[in-house]
Amino acid sequence: MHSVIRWLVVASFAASATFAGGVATAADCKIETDETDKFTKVRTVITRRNSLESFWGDSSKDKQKDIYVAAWYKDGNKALQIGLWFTNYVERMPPDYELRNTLVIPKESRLLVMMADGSIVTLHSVNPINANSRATRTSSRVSVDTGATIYYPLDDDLITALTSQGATKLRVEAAEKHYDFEVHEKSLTDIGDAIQCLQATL
Amino acid sequence: MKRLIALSIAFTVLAADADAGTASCKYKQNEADDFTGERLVKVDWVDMTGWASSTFNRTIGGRKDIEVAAESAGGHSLLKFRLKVSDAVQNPPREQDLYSALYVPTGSSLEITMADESIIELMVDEAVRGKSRAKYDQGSYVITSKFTVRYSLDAELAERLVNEDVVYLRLAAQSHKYDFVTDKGSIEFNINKKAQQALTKVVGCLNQALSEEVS
Repeated sequence: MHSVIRWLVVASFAASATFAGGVATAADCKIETDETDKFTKVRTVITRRNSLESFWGDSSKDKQKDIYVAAWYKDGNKALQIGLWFTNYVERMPPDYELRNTLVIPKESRLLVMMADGSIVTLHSVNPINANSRATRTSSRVSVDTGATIYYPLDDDLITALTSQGATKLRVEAAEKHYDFEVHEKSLTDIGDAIQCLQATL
Repeated sequence: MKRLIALSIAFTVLAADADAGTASCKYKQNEADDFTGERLVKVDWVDMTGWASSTFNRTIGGRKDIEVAAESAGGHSLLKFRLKVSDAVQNPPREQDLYSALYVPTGSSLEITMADESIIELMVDEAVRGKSRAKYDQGSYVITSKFTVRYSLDAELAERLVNEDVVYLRLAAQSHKYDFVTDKGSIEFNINKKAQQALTKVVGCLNQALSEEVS
Protein backbone atom coordinates (compact mmCIF):
# COMPACT_ATOMS: atom_id res chain seq x y z
CA MET A 1 0.00 0.00 0.00
CA HIS A 2 2.80 2.40 0.89
CA SER A 3 4.52 1.80 -2.41
CA VAL A 4 1.30 2.84 -4.15
CA ILE A 5 1.21 6.02 -2.12
CA ARG A 6 4.84 6.71 -2.93
CA TRP A 7 4.11 6.18 -6.60
CA LEU A 8 1.19 8.58 -6.41
CA VAL A 9 3.36 11.09 -4.63
CA VAL A 10 6.10 10.85 -7.22
CA ALA A 11 3.57 11.10 -10.00
CA SER A 12 1.98 14.12 -8.44
CA PHE A 13 5.35 15.82 -8.02
CA ALA A 14 6.13 15.30 -11.68
CA ALA A 15 2.69 16.44 -12.71
CA SER A 16 2.88 19.52 -10.53
CA ALA A 17 6.15 20.56 -12.07
CA THR A 18 4.76 20.06 -15.57
CA PHE A 19 1.65 22.09 -14.97
CA ALA A 20 3.19 24.85 -12.92
CA GLY A 21 3.23 27.15 -15.89
CA GLY A 22 -0.38 26.51 -16.88
CA VAL A 23 -2.00 24.10 -19.31
CA ALA A 24 -1.96 24.93 -22.98
CA THR A 25 -3.23 21.87 -24.83
CA ALA A 26 -4.46 18.35 -24.23
CA ALA A 27 -1.07 17.10 -25.30
CA ASP A 28 0.47 18.64 -22.17
CA CYS A 29 -1.93 16.82 -19.89
CA LYS A 30 -1.54 13.56 -18.04
CA ILE A 31 -4.75 11.60 -18.30
CA GLU A 32 -5.31 8.61 -16.04
CA THR A 33 -8.38 7.31 -17.83
CA ASP A 34 -9.96 8.12 -21.19
CA GLU A 35 -12.18 5.30 -22.31
CA THR A 36 -15.56 4.74 -23.88
CA ASP A 37 -17.66 1.83 -22.71
CA LYS A 38 -18.16 -0.62 -25.58
CA PHE A 39 -21.78 -1.29 -24.69
CA THR A 40 -23.13 2.01 -23.42
CA LYS A 41 -20.81 4.27 -25.44
CA VAL A 42 -20.40 6.39 -22.32
CA ARG A 43 -17.04 8.13 -22.19
CA THR A 44 -15.11 8.48 -18.94
CA VAL A 45 -12.15 10.82 -18.53
CA ILE A 46 -10.12 11.20 -15.35
CA THR A 47 -7.01 13.33 -15.15
CA ARG A 48 -3.96 12.12 -13.28
CA ARG A 49 -4.22 12.49 -9.54
CA ASN A 50 -2.04 15.16 -7.99
CA SER A 51 -1.14 15.26 -4.33
CA LEU A 52 -1.78 18.73 -2.98
CA GLU A 53 -0.20 18.62 0.42
CA SER A 54 2.53 16.23 1.47
CA PHE A 55 5.12 14.90 -0.94
CA TRP A 56 7.11 12.33 0.97
CA GLY A 57 5.42 12.59 4.32
CA ASP A 58 7.19 12.07 7.59
CA SER A 59 7.12 8.44 8.66
CA SER A 60 8.29 9.40 12.16
CA LYS A 61 4.95 11.08 12.85
CA ASP A 62 2.11 9.11 14.43
CA LYS A 63 -0.41 10.69 12.09
CA GLN A 64 -0.12 11.38 8.40
CA LYS A 65 -2.61 12.67 5.90
CA ASP A 66 -2.68 13.31 2.20
CA ILE A 67 -5.11 14.79 -0.27
CA TYR A 68 -5.08 14.40 -4.02
CA VAL A 69 -7.14 15.96 -6.73
CA ALA A 70 -8.23 15.03 -10.22
CA ALA A 71 -10.88 16.22 -12.65
CA TRP A 72 -13.52 13.70 -13.68
CA TYR A 73 -15.98 13.45 -16.56
CA LYS A 74 -18.66 10.87 -17.33
CA ASP A 75 -21.79 11.00 -19.45
CA GLY A 76 -21.88 14.77 -19.65
CA ASN A 77 -21.15 15.33 -15.96
CA LYS A 78 -17.98 16.95 -14.64
CA ALA A 79 -16.69 16.77 -11.10
CA LEU A 80 -13.69 17.52 -8.99
CA GLN A 81 -12.44 14.25 -7.54
CA ILE A 82 -10.89 14.62 -4.10
CA GLY A 83 -9.07 11.72 -2.52
CA LEU A 84 -8.34 11.65 1.20
CA TRP A 85 -5.85 9.38 2.84
CA PHE A 86 -5.12 9.15 6.55
CA THR A 87 -2.61 6.92 8.30
CA ASN A 88 -2.35 6.59 12.06
CA TYR A 89 0.37 4.56 13.71
CA VAL A 90 -0.56 2.93 16.98
CA GLU A 91 1.04 0.43 19.32
CA ARG A 92 -1.68 -2.19 19.45
CA MET A 93 -4.18 -3.59 16.97
CA PRO A 94 -7.51 -1.72 17.40
CA PRO A 95 -10.67 -3.78 17.89
CA ASP A 96 -12.82 -4.17 14.76
CA TYR A 97 -15.54 -1.80 15.93
CA GLU A 98 -13.04 1.04 16.05
CA LEU A 99 -12.25 0.48 12.38
CA ARG A 100 -15.82 0.83 11.18
CA ASN A 101 -17.33 4.09 9.85
CA THR A 102 -14.21 6.04 10.66
CA LEU A 103 -14.70 8.53 7.82
CA VAL A 104 -18.28 9.66 7.25
CA ILE A 105 -19.02 12.40 4.73
CA PRO A 106 -22.73 12.81 3.96
CA LYS A 107 -23.96 13.72 0.49
CA GLU A 108 -24.04 17.50 -0.07
CA SER A 109 -21.11 18.05 2.29
CA ARG A 110 -19.05 21.07 1.42
CA LEU A 111 -15.58 21.42 0.00
CA LEU A 112 -14.24 24.90 0.66
CA VAL A 113 -11.39 26.04 -1.56
CA MET A 114 -9.53 29.17 -0.58
CA MET A 115 -8.19 30.88 -3.67
CA ALA A 116 -5.01 32.96 -3.89
CA ASP A 117 -6.92 36.22 -3.45
CA GLY A 118 -8.57 34.96 -0.25
CA SER A 119 -11.96 34.32 -1.82
CA ILE A 120 -13.64 30.99 -1.07
CA VAL A 121 -15.18 28.69 -3.66
CA THR A 122 -17.74 26.23 -2.26
CA LEU A 123 -18.54 22.85 -3.82
CA HIS A 124 -21.01 20.19 -2.61
CA SER A 125 -20.36 16.46 -2.70
CA VAL A 126 -22.57 14.11 -4.69
CA ASN A 127 -21.62 10.73 -3.17
CA PRO A 128 -22.01 9.82 0.50
CA ILE A 129 -18.89 8.36 2.13
CA ASN A 130 -18.96 5.80 4.90
CA ALA A 131 -15.45 4.42 4.97
CA ASN A 132 -13.88 1.82 7.22
CA SER A 133 -10.23 1.76 8.24
CA ARG A 134 -7.79 -1.05 7.70
CA ALA A 135 -5.20 -2.01 10.29
CA THR A 136 -1.93 -3.61 9.22
CA ARG A 137 0.71 -4.84 11.61
CA THR A 138 4.23 -3.81 10.68
CA SER A 139 7.43 -4.87 12.39
CA SER A 140 7.22 -2.26 15.13
CA ARG A 141 3.68 -0.90 15.17
CA VAL A 142 0.24 -1.02 13.64
CA SER A 143 -0.66 1.14 10.67
CA VAL A 144 -4.32 2.19 10.51
CA ASP A 145 -5.21 3.46 7.03
CA THR A 146 -8.38 5.23 5.97
CA GLY A 147 -9.15 6.49 2.49
CA ALA A 148 -12.03 7.78 0.43
CA THR A 149 -12.74 9.45 -2.89
CA ILE A 150 -15.30 12.22 -2.95
CA TYR A 151 -16.91 13.74 -6.04
CA TYR A 152 -17.87 17.40 -6.15
CA PRO A 153 -19.86 18.32 -9.30
CA LEU A 154 -18.56 21.21 -11.40
CA ASP A 155 -20.65 23.72 -13.31
CA ASP A 156 -19.45 26.54 -15.53
CA ASP A 157 -19.30 29.09 -12.70
CA LEU A 158 -17.24 26.78 -10.50
CA ILE A 159 -14.92 25.95 -13.37
CA THR A 160 -14.33 29.64 -14.03
CA ALA A 161 -13.69 30.32 -10.34
CA LEU A 162 -11.31 27.39 -9.87
CA THR A 163 -9.29 27.96 -13.03
CA SER A 164 -8.88 31.73 -12.76
CA GLN A 165 -6.23 31.57 -10.01
CA GLY A 166 -4.37 29.19 -7.70
CA ALA A 167 -5.80 27.55 -4.59
CA THR A 168 -4.00 27.85 -1.25
CA LYS A 169 -6.10 25.93 1.28
CA LEU A 170 -8.85 23.32 1.31
CA ARG A 171 -11.40 22.30 3.89
CA VAL A 172 -13.22 19.00 3.45
CA GLU A 173 -16.30 18.98 5.65
CA ALA A 174 -17.34 15.62 7.10
CA ALA A 175 -20.17 14.48 9.36
CA GLU A 176 -18.82 15.70 12.68
CA LYS A 177 -15.62 17.47 11.83
CA HIS A 178 -13.65 18.95 9.01
CA TYR A 179 -10.22 18.34 7.55
CA ASP A 180 -8.00 21.26 6.60
CA PHE A 181 -5.20 21.05 4.08
CA GLU A 182 -2.54 23.56 3.16
CA VAL A 183 -1.77 23.33 -0.54
CA HIS A 184 1.93 22.85 -1.20
CA GLU A 185 3.47 25.79 -3.02
CA LYS A 186 4.26 23.57 -6.00
CA SER A 187 0.62 22.50 -6.22
CA LEU A 188 -1.12 25.87 -6.11
CA THR A 189 -2.42 25.56 -9.66
CA ASP A 190 -3.10 21.81 -9.61
CA ILE A 191 -6.87 22.09 -9.22
CA GLY A 192 -7.19 24.58 -12.05
CA ASP A 193 -4.76 22.62 -14.19
CA ALA A 194 -6.70 19.38 -13.70
CA ILE A 195 -9.92 21.06 -14.78
CA GLN A 196 -8.27 22.69 -17.76
CA CYS A 197 -6.79 19.35 -18.75
CA LEU A 198 -10.20 17.76 -18.60
CA GLN A 199 -11.66 20.56 -20.72
CA ALA A 200 -8.88 20.28 -23.25
CA THR A 201 -9.21 16.49 -23.46
CA LEU A 202 -12.96 16.67 -24.02
CA MET B 1 15.46 32.33 61.05
CA LYS B 2 11.74 31.75 61.61
CA ARG B 3 11.02 34.95 59.68
CA LEU B 4 13.17 33.72 56.82
CA ILE B 5 11.28 30.43 56.69
CA ALA B 6 7.92 32.20 56.84
CA LEU B 7 9.01 34.56 54.06
CA SER B 8 10.19 31.62 51.97
CA ILE B 9 6.85 29.85 52.44
CA ALA B 10 4.99 33.02 51.50
CA PHE B 11 7.00 33.36 48.29
CA THR B 12 6.37 29.70 47.47
CA VAL B 13 2.63 30.17 47.89
CA LEU B 14 2.73 33.33 45.79
CA ALA B 15 4.66 31.53 43.08
CA ALA B 16 2.14 28.70 43.09
CA ASP B 17 -0.72 31.16 42.78
CA ALA B 18 1.02 32.93 39.91
CA ASP B 19 1.50 29.60 38.15
CA ALA B 20 -2.19 28.86 38.52
CA GLY B 21 -3.01 32.24 37.03
CA THR B 22 -3.05 33.29 33.46
CA ALA B 23 0.53 34.58 33.24
CA SER B 24 1.78 31.25 31.90
CA CYS B 25 -1.06 30.44 29.56
CA LYS B 26 -0.18 28.00 26.81
CA TYR B 27 -2.34 27.75 23.74
CA LYS B 28 -2.46 25.06 21.09
CA GLN B 29 -4.45 27.46 18.94
CA ASN B 30 -5.39 31.13 19.24
CA GLU B 31 -6.39 32.55 15.88
CA ALA B 32 -9.23 33.29 13.51
CA ASP B 33 -10.47 30.43 11.35
CA ASP B 34 -9.18 30.81 7.78
CA PHE B 35 -12.51 29.98 6.19
CA THR B 36 -15.17 31.27 8.57
CA GLY B 37 -13.30 34.03 10.38
CA GLU B 38 -14.56 32.56 13.69
CA ARG B 39 -12.34 32.92 16.71
CA LEU B 40 -10.61 29.64 17.63
CA VAL B 41 -8.93 29.20 21.00
CA LYS B 42 -7.51 25.97 22.39
CA VAL B 43 -5.89 26.16 25.80
CA ASP B 44 -3.24 23.48 26.22
CA TRP B 45 -3.77 20.51 28.51
CA VAL B 46 -2.85 20.81 32.19
CA ASP B 47 -2.17 17.59 34.05
CA MET B 48 -4.27 17.06 37.16
CA THR B 49 -3.03 13.53 37.82
CA GLY B 50 -1.93 13.10 41.40
CA TRP B 51 -3.68 16.30 42.35
CA ALA B 52 -7.18 14.92 42.23
CA SER B 53 -7.89 11.70 44.10
CA SER B 54 -10.47 9.44 42.56
CA THR B 55 -12.89 6.94 43.97
CA PHE B 56 -11.86 4.14 41.67
CA ASN B 57 -11.77 0.65 42.95
CA ARG B 58 -8.10 0.27 43.71
CA THR B 59 -7.49 -3.21 42.40
CA ILE B 60 -4.09 -4.29 41.22
CA GLY B 61 -3.28 -2.43 38.03
CA GLY B 62 -5.99 0.14 38.64
CA ARG B 63 -4.98 3.76 38.04
CA LYS B 64 -6.27 6.98 36.56
CA ASP B 65 -4.85 9.94 34.74
CA ILE B 66 -6.77 13.17 34.30
CA GLU B 67 -5.94 16.31 32.35
CA VAL B 68 -8.02 19.42 31.83
CA ALA B 69 -8.18 21.95 28.99
CA ALA B 70 -10.63 24.43 27.49
CA GLU B 71 -11.47 25.61 24.01
CA SER B 72 -13.77 27.93 22.16
CA ALA B 73 -14.92 28.02 18.54
CA GLY B 74 -17.29 30.61 17.19
CA GLY B 75 -18.37 31.68 20.67
CA HIS B 76 -19.10 28.12 21.88
CA SER B 77 -16.83 27.31 24.82
CA LEU B 78 -16.01 23.85 26.13
CA LEU B 79 -14.34 22.49 29.23
CA LYS B 80 -12.49 19.28 28.33
CA PHE B 81 -11.19 16.40 30.39
CA ARG B 82 -8.84 13.76 29.04
CA LEU B 83 -8.97 10.62 31.13
CA LYS B 84 -7.16 7.33 31.14
CA VAL B 85 -8.59 4.71 33.44
CA SER B 86 -7.58 1.13 33.96
CA ASP B 87 -8.69 -2.00 35.72
CA ALA B 88 -7.23 -5.48 36.11
CA VAL B 89 -9.29 -8.62 35.55
CA GLN B 90 -8.59 -12.33 35.44
CA ASN B 91 -10.40 -13.26 32.23
CA PRO B 92 -9.50 -12.07 28.74
CA PRO B 93 -11.99 -9.49 27.45
CA ARG B 94 -14.24 -10.12 24.46
CA GLU B 95 -14.55 -7.42 21.83
CA GLN B 96 -17.99 -6.53 23.19
CA ASP B 97 -16.43 -6.01 26.64
CA LEU B 98 -13.99 -3.50 25.19
CA TYR B 99 -16.74 -1.81 23.18
CA SER B 100 -18.84 -1.21 26.29
CA ALA B 101 -15.94 -0.64 28.66
CA LEU B 102 -16.46 3.11 28.88
CA TYR B 103 -19.20 5.26 27.40
CA VAL B 104 -20.41 8.79 28.09
CA PRO B 105 -23.84 9.12 26.41
CA THR B 106 -25.47 12.24 25.05
CA GLY B 107 -27.20 14.14 27.84
CA SER B 108 -24.61 13.15 30.45
CA SER B 109 -23.58 15.77 32.93
CA LEU B 110 -20.55 16.92 34.83
CA GLU B 111 -21.49 17.95 38.34
CA ILE B 112 -19.04 20.29 40.00
CA THR B 113 -19.42 20.73 43.72
CA MET B 114 -18.19 24.14 44.83
CA ALA B 115 -16.66 25.00 48.19
CA ASP B 116 -19.95 26.52 49.33
CA GLU B 117 -21.57 23.11 48.59
CA SER B 118 -23.54 24.44 45.65
CA ILE B 119 -23.41 22.27 42.54
CA ILE B 120 -23.02 23.52 39.02
CA GLU B 121 -23.86 21.26 36.14
CA LEU B 122 -22.32 21.17 32.69
CA MET B 123 -23.77 19.04 29.90
CA VAL B 124 -21.68 16.87 27.62
CA ASP B 125 -21.24 18.33 24.14
CA GLU B 126 -21.33 14.96 22.36
CA ALA B 127 -21.32 11.29 23.29
CA VAL B 128 -17.92 9.68 23.76
CA ARG B 129 -16.81 6.08 23.69
CA GLY B 130 -13.49 5.23 25.32
CA LYS B 131 -10.71 3.67 23.29
CA SER B 132 -10.21 0.50 25.25
CA ARG B 133 -7.35 -1.97 25.07
CA ALA B 134 -6.35 -5.09 26.97
CA LYS B 135 -2.84 -6.12 27.88
CA TYR B 136 -1.79 -9.32 29.62
CA ASP B 137 0.50 -8.52 32.52
CA GLN B 138 1.70 -10.82 35.29
CA GLY B 139 -1.28 -13.14 35.38
CA SER B 140 -4.05 -10.64 34.76
CA TYR B 141 -5.48 -8.58 31.96
CA VAL B 142 -5.11 -4.84 32.38
CA ILE B 143 -7.98 -3.06 30.65
CA THR B 144 -7.22 0.55 29.81
CA SER B 145 -9.71 3.05 28.42
CA LYS B 146 -8.80 6.51 27.16
CA PHE B 147 -11.26 9.22 26.25
CA THR B 148 -11.70 12.96 25.97
CA VAL B 149 -15.02 14.36 27.10
CA ARG B 150 -16.18 17.92 26.38
CA TYR B 151 -18.74 19.91 28.33
CA SER B 152 -20.46 23.10 27.20
CA LEU B 153 -19.32 26.06 29.25
CA ASP B 154 -21.14 29.37 29.33
CA ALA B 155 -19.62 32.68 30.45
CA GLU B 156 -21.37 32.70 33.82
CA LEU B 157 -20.15 29.24 34.82
CA ALA B 158 -16.68 30.02 33.49
CA GLU B 159 -16.60 33.05 35.78
CA ARG B 160 -17.56 30.92 38.78
CA LEU B 161 -14.87 28.35 38.00
CA VAL B 162 -12.27 31.11 37.91
CA ASN B 163 -13.37 32.85 41.09
CA GLU B 164 -14.69 30.09 43.35
CA ASP B 165 -13.14 26.94 44.76
CA VAL B 166 -14.11 23.51 43.47
CA VAL B 167 -14.03 20.52 45.80
CA TYR B 168 -15.54 17.64 43.83
CA LEU B 169 -16.10 16.44 40.25
CA ARG B 170 -18.65 13.86 39.20
CA LEU B 171 -18.60 12.81 35.55
CA ALA B 172 -21.55 10.68 34.53
CA ALA B 173 -20.42 7.62 32.57
CA GLN B 174 -21.26 4.01 31.87
CA SER B 175 -19.14 0.90 32.09
CA HIS B 176 -20.56 -2.51 31.31
CA LYS B 177 -18.08 -4.71 33.08
CA TYR B 178 -15.20 -2.84 34.62
CA ASP B 179 -14.70 -0.79 37.75
CA PHE B 180 -14.12 2.42 35.85
CA VAL B 181 -17.31 3.95 37.24
CA THR B 182 -19.06 3.88 40.58
CA ASP B 183 -22.34 2.08 41.23
CA LYS B 184 -24.01 5.46 40.72
CA GLY B 185 -22.70 5.57 37.16
CA SER B 186 -20.04 8.20 37.55
CA ILE B 187 -16.34 8.83 37.73
CA GLU B 188 -15.65 11.00 40.74
CA PHE B 189 -12.74 13.05 41.94
CA ASN B 190 -11.95 14.92 45.10
CA ILE B 191 -10.29 18.15 44.06
CA ASN B 192 -7.46 19.55 46.12
CA LYS B 193 -5.92 23.00 45.86
CA LYS B 194 -3.54 22.08 43.06
CA ALA B 195 -6.28 20.53 40.95
CA GLN B 196 -8.40 23.60 41.62
CA GLN B 197 -5.58 25.75 40.30
CA ALA B 198 -5.40 23.64 37.15
CA LEU B 199 -9.11 24.17 36.52
CA THR B 200 -8.86 27.87 37.29
CA LYS B 201 -5.90 28.20 35.00
CA VAL B 202 -7.40 26.67 31.87
CA VAL B 203 -10.69 28.53 32.22
CA GLY B 204 -8.88 31.77 33.07
CA CYS B 205 -6.61 31.34 30.05
CA LEU B 206 -9.63 30.77 27.82
CA ASN B 207 -11.32 33.90 29.17
CA GLN B 208 -8.14 35.90 28.71
CA ALA B 209 -7.72 34.83 25.09
CA LEU B 210 -11.36 35.55 24.30
CA SER B 211 -11.06 39.04 25.78
CA GLU B 212 -8.13 39.89 23.49
CA GLU B 213 -8.28 40.90 19.87
CA VAL B 214 -6.65 38.53 17.43
CA SER B 215 -4.78 39.83 14.42
